[in-house]
Amino acid sequence: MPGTYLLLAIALIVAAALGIAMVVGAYVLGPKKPSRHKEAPYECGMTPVGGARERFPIRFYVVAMLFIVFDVETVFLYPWAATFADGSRAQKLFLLGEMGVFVAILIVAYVYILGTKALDWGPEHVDGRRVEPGVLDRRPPIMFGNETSNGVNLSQTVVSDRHSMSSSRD
Amino acid sequence: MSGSSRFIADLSALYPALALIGASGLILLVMPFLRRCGGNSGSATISGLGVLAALALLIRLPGEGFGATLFAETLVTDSLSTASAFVLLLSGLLAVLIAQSYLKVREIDEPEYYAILLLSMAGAYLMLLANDLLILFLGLELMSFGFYAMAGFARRDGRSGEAALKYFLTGAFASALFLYGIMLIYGVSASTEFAKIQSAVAHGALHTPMGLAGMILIIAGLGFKVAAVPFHQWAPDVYEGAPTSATAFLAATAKIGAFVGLIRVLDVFAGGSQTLIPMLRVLAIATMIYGNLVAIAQTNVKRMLGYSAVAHAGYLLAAMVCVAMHYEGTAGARTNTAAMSASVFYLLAYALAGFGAFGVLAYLSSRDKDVQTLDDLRGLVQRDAPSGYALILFMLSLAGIPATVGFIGKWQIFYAVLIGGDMTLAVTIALTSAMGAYYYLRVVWYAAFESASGPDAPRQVGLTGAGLTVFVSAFATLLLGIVPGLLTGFLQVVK
Amino acid sequence: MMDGMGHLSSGGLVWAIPCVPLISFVVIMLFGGRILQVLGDAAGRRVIGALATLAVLVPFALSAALVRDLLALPAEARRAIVPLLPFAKTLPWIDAGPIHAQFAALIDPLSALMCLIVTGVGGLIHLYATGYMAHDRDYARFFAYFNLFIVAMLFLVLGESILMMFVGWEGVGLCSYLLISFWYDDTDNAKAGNKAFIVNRIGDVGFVLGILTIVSLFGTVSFHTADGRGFLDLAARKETLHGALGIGSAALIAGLLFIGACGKSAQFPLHIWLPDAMAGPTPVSALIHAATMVTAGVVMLTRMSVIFVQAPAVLLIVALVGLFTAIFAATIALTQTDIKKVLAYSTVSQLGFMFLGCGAGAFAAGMFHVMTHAFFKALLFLGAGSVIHGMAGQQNMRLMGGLRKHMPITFATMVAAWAAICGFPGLSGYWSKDLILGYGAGIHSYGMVIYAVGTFTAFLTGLYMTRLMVMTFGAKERFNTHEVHVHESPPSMWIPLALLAVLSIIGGLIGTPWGHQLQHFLEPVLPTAALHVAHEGVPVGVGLGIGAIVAIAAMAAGLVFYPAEAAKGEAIEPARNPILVGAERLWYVDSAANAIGIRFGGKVATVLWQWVDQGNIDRLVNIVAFVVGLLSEIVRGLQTGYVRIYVTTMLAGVAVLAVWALIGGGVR
Repeated sequence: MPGTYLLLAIALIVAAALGIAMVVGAYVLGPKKPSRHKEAPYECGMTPVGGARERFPIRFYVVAMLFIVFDVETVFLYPWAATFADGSRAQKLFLLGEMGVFVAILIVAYVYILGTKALDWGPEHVDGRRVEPGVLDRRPPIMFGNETSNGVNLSQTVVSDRHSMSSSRD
Repeated sequence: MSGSSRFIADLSALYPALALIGASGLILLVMPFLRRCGGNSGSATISGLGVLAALALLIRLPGEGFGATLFAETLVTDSLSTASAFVLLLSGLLAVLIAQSYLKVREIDEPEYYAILLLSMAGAYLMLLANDLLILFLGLELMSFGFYAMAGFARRDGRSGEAALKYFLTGAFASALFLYGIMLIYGVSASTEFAKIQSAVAHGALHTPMGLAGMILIIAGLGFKVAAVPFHQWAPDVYEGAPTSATAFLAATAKIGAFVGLIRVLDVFAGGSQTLIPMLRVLAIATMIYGNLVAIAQTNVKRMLGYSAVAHAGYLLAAMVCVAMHYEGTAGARTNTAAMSASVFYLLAYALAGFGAFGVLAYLSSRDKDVQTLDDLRGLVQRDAPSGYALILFMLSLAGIPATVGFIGKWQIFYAVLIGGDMTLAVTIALTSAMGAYYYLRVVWYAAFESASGPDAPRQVGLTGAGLTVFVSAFATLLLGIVPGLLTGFLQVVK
Repeated sequence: MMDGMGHLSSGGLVWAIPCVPLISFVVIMLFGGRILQVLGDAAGRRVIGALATLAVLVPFALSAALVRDLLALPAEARRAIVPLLPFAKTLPWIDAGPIHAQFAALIDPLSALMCLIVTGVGGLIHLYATGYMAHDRDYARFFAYFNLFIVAMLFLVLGESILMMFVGWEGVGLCSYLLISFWYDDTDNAKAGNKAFIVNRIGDVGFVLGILTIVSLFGTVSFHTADGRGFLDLAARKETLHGALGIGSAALIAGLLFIGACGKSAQFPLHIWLPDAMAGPTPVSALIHAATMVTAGVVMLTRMSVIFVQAPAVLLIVALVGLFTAIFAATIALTQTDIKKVLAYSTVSQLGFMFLGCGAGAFAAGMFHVMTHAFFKALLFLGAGSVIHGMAGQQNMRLMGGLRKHMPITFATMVAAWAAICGFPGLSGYWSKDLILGYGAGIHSYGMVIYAVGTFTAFLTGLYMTRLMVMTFGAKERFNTHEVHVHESPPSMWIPLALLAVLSIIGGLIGTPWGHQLQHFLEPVLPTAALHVAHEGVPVGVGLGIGAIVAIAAMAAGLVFYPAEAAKGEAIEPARNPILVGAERLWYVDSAANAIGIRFGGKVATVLWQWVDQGNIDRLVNIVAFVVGLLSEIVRGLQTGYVRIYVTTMLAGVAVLAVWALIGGGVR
């Protein structure tokens, strides 16, 4: 037992040492010619514009979550498929049922996504009026994110609704 | 019995949960498409039917599975799980009813609420059957996720969002503690199964620092859910901020799930450490005193009920002390049956009074006004006699005044504590109950003896879901307060 | 001895006996106003009246079936405990220490008989009330209370344990209070209600202490249980928790319970509330303050007879108090002018007879008189109500007279009741009163005195009842026939009168000295010892003969003497005879109660209130409350609203617990 952990510890130490050596080595050995562009935050090669605290549509979060739903499905399917082949007939039947349940739950989620139009990206016309589409458009006024929606002054709504409990003592 | 038929037989214990999950899935599948034709009443109907189906399936649970462990010892069905599941599903029914009208009034009537509610209940149901720490954790999380989402369901209300966020952050922390506790217990017992942990405990597993820390962390995790001091501070904020229907639901359900979970855990830990009972006793006393003391200063009824929830957690913790004493063998078998049945009965009493009180608030709320302060209740008896008297009844029940179910519940706990021989707890219960009477009776005072301050806001009239909740709760509160045996009688008849 | 409801074919419906009127009560109480709104006033009243009456007649039918079933069983099998919930085998009510009370009915001849009386007479009076109260403002409220009273009375007689009996006992007290002060606009009515309630409290103290003594001695509250561990079972075997049942313990219980019975059944000196209780509507007086509730004490005594017969001294006191009350109230009844007051004191007097019977050990005779009295006294009150109704609210007999022409049906039925209460040979009162007097004469060493006084009281009974009849129906009208349009009452009122008249006439035939059917029916309830305690002190034939002669003599004397007095009407000069003056002034009992209870007690209370309570205790309480409030304000400061603080608190809590566990020696 301790032997196994010892190997692990050695591996950890070697890995850490290697990483530190690389960074420190680059710092010590490399030439330093700073410029404004080099000192700017790294943003995938783009020039940073504006502050970091920018608002962007909540739909991105929705899409991210949807991605995870299907991603997890795949993650689960691989080990399942690997074990499925080894099972006996009865076990295979059971495993098939299990996967059926799992997929069924995902299908519910998928249908729900379709039903709430989370995947509709194009503009939509209601009563001849062009409205922003998306997962939230069926709902009453939106507080965050969608600044183009008409009729609601978001900043005001937010401010007037903010009677924060944290500011006042209990 | 072969594996597959065993599996099928075991599955029947989960039918109620499956019914809840199925109804939830149905709502998610169907309601988005029906939105344009006919509004949202369908969701309430489906979820109501789902809960009723679950109730029917619970009642029809086969008798031979009684007291048995299922699914390779991970679940257990016994009289405790069945009785508490009955209470859980009953409060689920009330939760659906109260939401049906309240969500409309607040204009947050979305099918998702019901789907979340049902899933949350399924989680709580799983907690009641848990015979394994991981299953307990799974149920706890499923239940809690629903709470977080429901607390923040009134998205346009800043308080609701804040409540949800606070609940989520503290809840995540508590879950982490709980999970860490499971890990430590696994470290000393090499298992998450209750039976195996129990045998490890019998061999002194809790006499190691690791085991002790694990036990304390698990109790802390459950203590958070029931709002025991010092894990309680989320409660008033969440109770106040969450939509009233969600507050009612989480107040009842969290207590049912967590306290039954606590009973199971105590069964495992009892006798393993001489610190357990003193610790529980200190928690109970602190919780009773703190909850009742701070509730006195409140002017918002929902917040006051949040502190009241803390106080009631304290009374239930006092019963837990007796449960632990029994499991430890320091008190007679009578303590156990008394304390155990007292706990379940108290959970029911609390659920009824809670749903009733929040139901009155929900019933009185209108589009323009969410009723939640004492001022809003001024002169209620003159303005709306039925809801006024019902509110008074629920306050009396919460205060434990005779002829209400709350009295029977509190008295049973008091009795269990007395025959357990714990005088400190008994005296604390008595004194803090007297303190509690003050703030409950103040609501009565505002409702009955103050005159209305202004014109009544227009609101829904007729028999709304919240009105029905109030009626059912009031009826049951009074009936079970006079003939508490009806409950056992009823269970006997349906079995 | 008994096993559930196996024997009773109608046992499955026992729960419905109290529950049907209960449901009706809830419906009328909650939705009465709505019914009147939706259906309109006239139709709504009809619906409510019909609902309330049916809700009593259905249990009556069930009770009748129950009695039939009991009769079909052998005497020793006539007992069953039936939970008041359909299909349930048991229905636990209160489980506390030694107390395991069921929410169940004890079905035996006594409870079945009382059910029959309560629902039968009650049903007729409900029917009567639909006419009598037809134009009352609070029609729905009246019938709600009326039904609630039936429910409480049924709990009282059916209860499986003395606790349930107590619930019914207090329930009927509550309904009595609510109905006495039914017309609460009038302060006098409200005061009468208060008086009834308060005087009953005095008796209830005794009852509660009796219950507590029973619990501490026997460790149970159930009368009977399936395994013979009910306290009546134990008492019959002279066992207690602590050993044998001594004569002292039996006397203690019996004495305390008797105080309770005195309060409810208006025995001297706790009778003072009953005449005032006539402030309520007349159907209330008939049902509650004559036929049913006031007999609860006798029912309770009969139920507890096993204990009472083991305390001969208490039994003797019961008999003497009963006898004294009987003659005492009869003299007062002789002098009153308010028709309902006369009947009220007559009721007190008749209750005295019932207690005399119980005190003589002849509990069956007492119950027999309960039954016959229910018939004729209900009839008398309803008849009086009919008269008052016809006379547009007039209750003073001096301003009546000659009503036989105007109200022939009322008159005819009243004659039946009059003859019955006077003990006219062959009618119901004759048999039951004679039985009581006969057993009274059998009380050792005092027998003949008791018999003489009792017979004299019977004579007085005949006298005052004849006076009432003569002043009301006889002679000429002493009112302006042009101003008061006397009219016969509607059928809904006279049909119950007629039915009760039939019962008053023939109702006694189930208890004649030759048949003794009722006594045999009740025998399983009564202790075998009681059958030895009680024996008739005069030969049956002699007793019946003397009874008949006394009754006829009294009636004849009254018919000769009173028409002249009645004719004087208001002009009659005040009585000079000190006995009559004393009786007219109620023998100063009420004045004494006022002086001691109200004036002296009031002074003591004022001192306690202003000096002890407000001056000292309140200040102390306020200080405590102030400190707690202050603490609350301080402690709430811990709630900062910041999640970081919340989480830190949790962590600190865990840390403290962990340190405590580690240092506290948890680790080995």
